[in-house]
Amino acid sequence: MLELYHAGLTTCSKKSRLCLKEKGLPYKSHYVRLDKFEHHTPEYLKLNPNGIVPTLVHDGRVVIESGVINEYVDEVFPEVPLRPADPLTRAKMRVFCKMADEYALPATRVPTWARTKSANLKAMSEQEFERTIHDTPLVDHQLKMKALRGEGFSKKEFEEAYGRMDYVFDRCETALADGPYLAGRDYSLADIAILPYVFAFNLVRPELFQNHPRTKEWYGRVMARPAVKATYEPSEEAPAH
Amino acid sequence: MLELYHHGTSVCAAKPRIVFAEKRLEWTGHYVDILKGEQFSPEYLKLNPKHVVPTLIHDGHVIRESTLIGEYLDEVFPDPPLRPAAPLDRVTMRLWTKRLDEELHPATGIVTYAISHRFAVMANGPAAVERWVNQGSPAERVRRRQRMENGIDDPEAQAALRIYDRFLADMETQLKETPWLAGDRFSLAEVGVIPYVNRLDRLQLSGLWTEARPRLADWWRRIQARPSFKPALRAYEPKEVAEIMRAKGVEAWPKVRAILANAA
Repeated sequence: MLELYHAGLTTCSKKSRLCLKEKGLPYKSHYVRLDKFEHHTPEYLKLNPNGIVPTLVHDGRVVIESGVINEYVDEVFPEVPLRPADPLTRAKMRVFCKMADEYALPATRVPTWARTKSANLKAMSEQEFERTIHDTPLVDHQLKMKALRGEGFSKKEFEEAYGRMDYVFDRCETALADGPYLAGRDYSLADIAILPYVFAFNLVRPELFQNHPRTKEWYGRVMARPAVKATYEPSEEAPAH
Repeated sequence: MLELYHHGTSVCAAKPRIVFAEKRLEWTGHYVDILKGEQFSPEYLKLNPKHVVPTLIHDGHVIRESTLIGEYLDEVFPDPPLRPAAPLDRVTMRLWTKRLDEELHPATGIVTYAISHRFAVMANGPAAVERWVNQGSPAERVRRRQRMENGIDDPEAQAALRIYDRFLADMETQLKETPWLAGDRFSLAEVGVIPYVNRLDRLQLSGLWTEARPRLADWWRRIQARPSFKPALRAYEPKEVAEIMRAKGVEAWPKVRAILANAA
């Protein structure tokens, strides 16, 4: 049995949901409420010591990190393959998966966290906030939460994030000259890794699509896939709240 | 044909050399002297726009990023395999290599400069220091100058040391469970981690495992005994760099130990 602990419409959770739905794999959904810090409870930390989503549990065995989860799922359930068979194309796919983790994720945290987490953190009492920080395993997250409760992210942090967004869009635009999908001919884990970030970047910087026409077209094409629609539509599994 | 653009002091460039040696693959090397700035030449930038080594060329196809090069080589030359057969062990392997790329790699440069390489830069005079500082983006320059001036007294260098220490602690925990980092055989997890542990070894910081991490110490002995170790890790190491790491590392060790004891 597959079980997914996730936070519905957040970026990394969407990556794993996109993969499972594309492959048509049924799974038991455990929705983790980030606003209630359910990802920092002792029970959840036993599954995922970093206190982040998603976590996959397959027949009782735990797999963490969305990119690693997706490769695992594609290895164990090879039907509807989401990794190109040819090693060179596969390397190209992994370049995008790595870019999602190392460039896109840090970029999205700045504007997205500023938008979604500030109010919650500012409304806390001093004591609640101290406890929340204490319960947060990742030091980087602690620092960001402190910044958001205080004066917010600096101009420099926003500039750095915007630079990363430009980089990701530029790389997509270049790759899409060679085929309809990021790794070439077929829809793959590369598209799945990048899509939630392009979605998030577009919310804060809609102008990016104007000078990246191939990326815009790709986005429209990918968003029309039934599995993608099912992932993005608010549902019981992924409430809009 | 396999061609590798690489250098003797780069941690990442050592990884494909380990894979070549483990798989007994023939390869041609192109030495890019990153200490002289050859990675910024227009010809190399065409191959590797991020101006880092290594770059692999396989029958004319360019493959970048040492972690991805490892997976690629194991797919194309599967014998002997360097990825575990069991998907769950592959997960463990990939969690190690991911952590190297995202966490340990940035820490390594900071630690190496704080302990050793800043002395080599400073020995070339104030102009060389300015050049080094200005290699960073404008946003990074203040921090780079502080790191150059303060060495391991710099808070950033101490934070980087703690990242390393936590990583070694997690290796020790894993090696209680399995003989190798991702299961019952040598894998790309080892290939990735070896150059980073080797760096500590060259900086004379092996006390980090000989004093209280017996499984890691045993793992390191087994790694060094492999036929792949010397050709991949030591054959290309510039002598003068090895010497400054040794000399400055010996001086730094008592302080490093004290910093980590305080953090614990």
